[in-house]
Order: sequence, then structure tokens, then C-alpha cells
Amino acid sequence: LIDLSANESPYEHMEKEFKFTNKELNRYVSHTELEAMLKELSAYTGCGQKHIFVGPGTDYLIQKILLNNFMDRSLVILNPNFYGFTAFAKKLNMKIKRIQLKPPEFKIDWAGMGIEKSIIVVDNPNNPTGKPMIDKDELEKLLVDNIVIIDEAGFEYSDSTFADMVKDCGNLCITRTLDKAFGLAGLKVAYMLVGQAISEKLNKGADINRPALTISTEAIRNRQYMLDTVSNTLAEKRILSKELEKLGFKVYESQANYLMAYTEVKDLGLKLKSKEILIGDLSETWLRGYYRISVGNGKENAALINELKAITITGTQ
Amino acid sequence: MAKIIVTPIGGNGFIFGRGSRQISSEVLKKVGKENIIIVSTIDKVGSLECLRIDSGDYEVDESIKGSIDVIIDYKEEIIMEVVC
Repeated sequence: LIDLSANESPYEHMEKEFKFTNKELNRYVSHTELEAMLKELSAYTGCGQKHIFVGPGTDYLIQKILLNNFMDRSLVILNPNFYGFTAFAKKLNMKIKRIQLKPPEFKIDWAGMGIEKSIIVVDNPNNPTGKPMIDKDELEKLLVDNIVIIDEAGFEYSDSTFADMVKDCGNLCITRTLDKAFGLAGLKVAYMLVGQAISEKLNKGADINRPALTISTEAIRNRQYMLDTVSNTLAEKRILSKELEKLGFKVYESQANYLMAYTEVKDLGLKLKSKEILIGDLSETWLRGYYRISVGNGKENAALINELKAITITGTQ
Repeated sequence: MAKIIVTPIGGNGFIFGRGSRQISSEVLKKVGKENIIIVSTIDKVGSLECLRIDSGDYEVDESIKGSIDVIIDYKEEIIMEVVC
């Protein structure tokens, strides 16, 4: 099975890279261990430790914010999105407003939306389009009377961030994950950089387990694996994009580790699934003919292209 | 004030005109955009690039086009763009 549906890193870690042992699994995570991770994250992000919170996944961290800030605010999210926290927001009886993304630009006229007193979640770059969704000027205007959460899950691929605004913008939160570029999806560790108005309402605890904390800390300290695999993925993305275009796909420019592509080929997701290749089929939840393809390694991408050639040769019916 | 509650046509997204001609442009002019309530399931509206209007009156279409809220569930809406 080749899974190109979940935006994971296709590159496995070498066993020797992590020094975790089973010692002290009978004990809870200590404050010292959390401090060590915060110290590494602070050096990596350029944000002070008081602004950094760690948790088991982005959904968990956003739920933590909703739980402490939902009183009179609506939740604004983009459509489509792949978050789990919307169900949590419904349980909190929050009003939810989605914004439909539409071709060809997939851009949002933030000024024309009239959004106020809300918690706005924007993935930047966006999943599934791979496009930037907001610029600094738009963000500053939204922050006047909204809490804004920017999900930078694809930061290492886009090299674009608003992290430097956190120390001055109390209502800003940046979420990031070690699932993607750090290749640690199996640990499900995320962190957020939050402004003072948000951080003062949150408890800072060690919400992740010792194996996750230990391995994550080491991965952030020794970033060569991440840098190498990001470089490989960006190179593979360029090749994959060209190959897809040769096959007649409309491929959208992406700042992330996946490509969104449009095709008239019917039931492409199902056809590939029958060949044991999984891609993100956006027809099921959004617009017909759109697919999100995670950039795999060279071998996986070649297998995908070979199957696509066979499918497109048989026609678009 | 009168309200119009309408659901878009699946597949093409027309709210007024084309396959949905029960309400004339004269009525739309009197009711106004602020009194049009659009309801839909997320499955139907989420698969549309936009909503469409072709009432037969250019000025009415222009007054309704742009962003509009569509109710998709209890306390849940989606902002769609209406195009002419």
C-alpha cells in the first residue's frame, strides 16, 4: 500500500537517532523534562518559553483555547478543513461559521467578511490548496477584535511564519506540529506559540507522554533529519508537479508537502485505491474533481505516476 | 418584514432564476438581500463553488451578489459567494 493521503513524511527515521529507553516509564513526566523541550522549542521558534505550550496534536491545543475563550465568540473556519475540534466546539454550543474556498484563486476577502468577536482558525499554508491564506496586513486587522489561530503545520516546507508577531499580539496563536516535516506523526506531538491574552488563561502542563516528549526534544535539537527530508520533499514536489501536468492535471502551486490537482478523470481516487494507492479525494467533502496528493519519496511518486498513466491512457470516462 | 427562505439547486447552485423562477425580481427587490434566508445541507452547498442568481433584472442580481450566509445546521453557517 502506498499512502499519499495524509500529508505525512515518507521518510522513516533511523533507529539510532533517538536515545529513548524504558527507564522511568513508571514515573510521570517531570517539569524538568518539559522545560528541556520548551528550551529547544524556544531556540527553534525564537519565541520565549512563556509563550510556548505543548500537547498531543493540534486539535487538542485548539480545543484547549476554545475551552478557555468560547464565552461569547463564534468559531470561524475554512471549508474544507480536516480538523476534529469543530465537533468539540459544537458541544460547547459555539456558533460556527465556515468560509467556502473556491477556484480559481482560493483567496479570502477577509476585509469583506465582517468578522468580529470570533476565534478564527486559518491554516497557512492551507490544507488542501497549499496556498497562503492571509498576509500580515490582513492578520493585524483581524487581531483588533478577534482571536486568530494560524495553523502552520506546513511551516518547515513553506518557510513562512507569523511567529515573530506573537510577543506583541496578545490575541495571536500559532500552532505547529512535529507530525509532518519532523516525521513524527506516530507520536502526535504539537506545540503552539501564544500571545499573552491567550496564555494567561491556559494551564501549562506536561500534556504529552515521556516517549513523545523525549523523542520530540531530541528531534528539535538535532534537526538535520528534518532539514534533509524537507529538502528531498521539495525536490520531489517539483518533479511530481511536472509529471502530473504532463498527464493533463491542473496542478496548483503549493507551499506545503502536498499538491492539489484537478482532473476530469472520473472516480480517480477509487481507481487508485483499487491499485493500493491512496490519495486525498476532495470530491467526497468539497468540489468534484479535486484531489490532494501528499508528496511521497521518489519510488512512491514514480508508482503513482505509472498508475496515473495507465488510468489516463484508458480515457476520462 | 417579509422573509424569503430558499435552498440552492444542487449541482448548479442557483437560488433565484433558471430552474427556480417562483419568485420574481419585483418581489426580490421589495424583500431585499437582508431578508433572504438560505438554508442547505453542508453536503449540497459544500460541493458548490458558488451560489448563482439570474432573476432577469440586472440591478436586483447586482444587489444580491457577493458574500452571503447559508444556514447548514443549528448554530452553523457557511459563507458563500453569490455570482450573477
